[in-house]
Amino acid sequence: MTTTTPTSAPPAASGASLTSRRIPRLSGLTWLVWRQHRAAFWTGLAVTVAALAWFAYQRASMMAYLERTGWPESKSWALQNGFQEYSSRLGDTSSLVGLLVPVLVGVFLGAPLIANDLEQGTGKLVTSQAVSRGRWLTTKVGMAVAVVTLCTTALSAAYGWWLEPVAEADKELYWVAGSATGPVPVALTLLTMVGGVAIGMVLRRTLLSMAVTFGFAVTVQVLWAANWLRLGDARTVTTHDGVGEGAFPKLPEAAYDLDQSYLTGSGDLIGWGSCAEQTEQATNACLEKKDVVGWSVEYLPQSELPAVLWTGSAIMLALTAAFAVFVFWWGRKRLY
Amino acid sequence: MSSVMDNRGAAEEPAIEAYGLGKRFRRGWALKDCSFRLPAGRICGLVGPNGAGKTTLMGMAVNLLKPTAGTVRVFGETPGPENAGRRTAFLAQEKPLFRRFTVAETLRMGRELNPGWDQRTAEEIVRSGDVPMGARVGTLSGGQRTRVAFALAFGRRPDLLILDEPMSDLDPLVRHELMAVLMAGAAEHGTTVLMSSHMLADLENICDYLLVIAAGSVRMAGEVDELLTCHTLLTGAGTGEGVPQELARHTVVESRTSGRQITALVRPDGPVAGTWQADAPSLEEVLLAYLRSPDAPPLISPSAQADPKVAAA
Repeated sequence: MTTTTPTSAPPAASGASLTSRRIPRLSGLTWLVWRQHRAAFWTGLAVTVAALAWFAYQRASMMAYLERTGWPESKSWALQNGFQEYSSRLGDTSSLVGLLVPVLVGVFLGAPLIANDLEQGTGKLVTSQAVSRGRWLTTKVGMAVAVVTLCTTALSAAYGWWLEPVAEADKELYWVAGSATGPVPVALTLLTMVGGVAIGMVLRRTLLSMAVTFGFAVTVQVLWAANWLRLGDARTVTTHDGVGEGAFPKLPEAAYDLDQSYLTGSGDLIGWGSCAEQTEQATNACLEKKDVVGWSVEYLPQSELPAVLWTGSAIMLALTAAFAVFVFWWGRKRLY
Repeated sequence: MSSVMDNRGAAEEPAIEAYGLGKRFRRGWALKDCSFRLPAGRICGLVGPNGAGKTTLMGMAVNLLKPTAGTVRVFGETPGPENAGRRTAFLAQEKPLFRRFTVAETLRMGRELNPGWDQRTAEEIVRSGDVPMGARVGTLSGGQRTRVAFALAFGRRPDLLILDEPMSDLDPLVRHELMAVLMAGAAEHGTTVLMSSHMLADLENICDYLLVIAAGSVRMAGEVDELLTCHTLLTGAGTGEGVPQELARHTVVESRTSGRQITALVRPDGPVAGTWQADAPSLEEVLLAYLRSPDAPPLISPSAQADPKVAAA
């Protein structure tokens, strides 16, 4: 984003006209879009800067704690109760970045972006100046996408940097907190925002589109949460040492187990609860009867996380592009 | 059609020319088979009852709506963001402005979005109404806001200014004041104006051209003077039901009987037989007669006739 106010110039600058020539100024439609949405844009930028500072502070205090426990030589810190506080803060922040930000941006920036202009008639005002409808829509959506991409990329990168030293501490941190790193917050937020723009364009009412966009954003989150792990290339490990104590296969560090079942002598898989009997004797008899020979565990190894995140983001960005195409098509054909 | 009218109008460049223009919404046709021509340099009143299709017609002339049928040309071109759009300024009925912008920012928007912006003209219109430049648009009165909208429109130096009921929500004093702003601006820059209004008295004062539409089609179009001179208001003794025999050979726009007296607005085709008192009708009388009688044949003066060849080109 270009600098918008000459106020960011050093106070020593001589003369207003000189200052304004040195600082790149917004002009034309870009000026209008920035002026109209400056509250939302500045809020986004300010919140991002504040969040970056807070992330840095949190990371510093976490590192200080880790160094007190002998990190990185000793790995014992992972199990200590004292670290609980830091890992839960990481977990909470991951839902802020991956869940709250997309919903807020969709509802408060995406939905009203065009809907408000259609409701107030200001869209008519702009497109009856020497500005084509396509250029107006492109500039509005383009600038919103640019600001959102900038902010969410910064948030995601800073969060990833905070999480990185301890990411592999346990699978919860690695997978659940890790899901809010990389391209995912950017893709989720863009999808929700551009979806909100499309909703607002069709409904033409600000408040209604904000409500519907909220529903859309929550649906996106639910679908993502339910399906994102399926995008990985799952591995299976099987054992033939029975299912007694200590027989569960050891998974690689920070691997995420998706599914576990009993393996029978004939190679079939049965649910691991199928022999949950009252007594140990009955259980053993049942295992015997069903010919359970070991475990079969499906899991995602640690190395699968980046692939999952990028595949998911690519799908979401493709959907975002589809929404954007719809917005421009609808704007050309059906706006008024 | 009256042969009294000469053909001089046809030579002028048309600001707007519509041929067979129609627009259908889900509820049906808002405007159908509408053909007319507005020569450049005129101040044209667009009159018609609510729902007659006035806003639809304006919307198509400024490219907010796409015609379902027929064509409309503005200065010979299809309305769009290019040339025709640059030469046209439109003021929608609700006079939309960004409420959080200051007056100065609103004018800056005009400057940023329009090549050839005339800041001096725009500022003069704002200043002459004592509207503070730093005030937010949302805090202005209706009259002040309309003035800012006018400034935005005139700052574009349009060749054609289209106004949808610009004075409908203003008090008579402010209306008079803004009419003067409008007329001065139009006279100074030779702007063609198409303005819809329900204020027949205002139209009579400022318009030299008229376009009357009702029920989605053109009822009357042409120079105000010519439209008036080809009508006569006849008053005489009624002889019974219906239109008297001696009027049947003329075009009777409307006839009304009250007691034994009959009043008829006619387009005389030659001398009128019988004992009638003939008066020149006012514009208001002619307009009301046409709006009340949807079956009367439309009257399009030659200068307002659309040329199908031009429209189809």
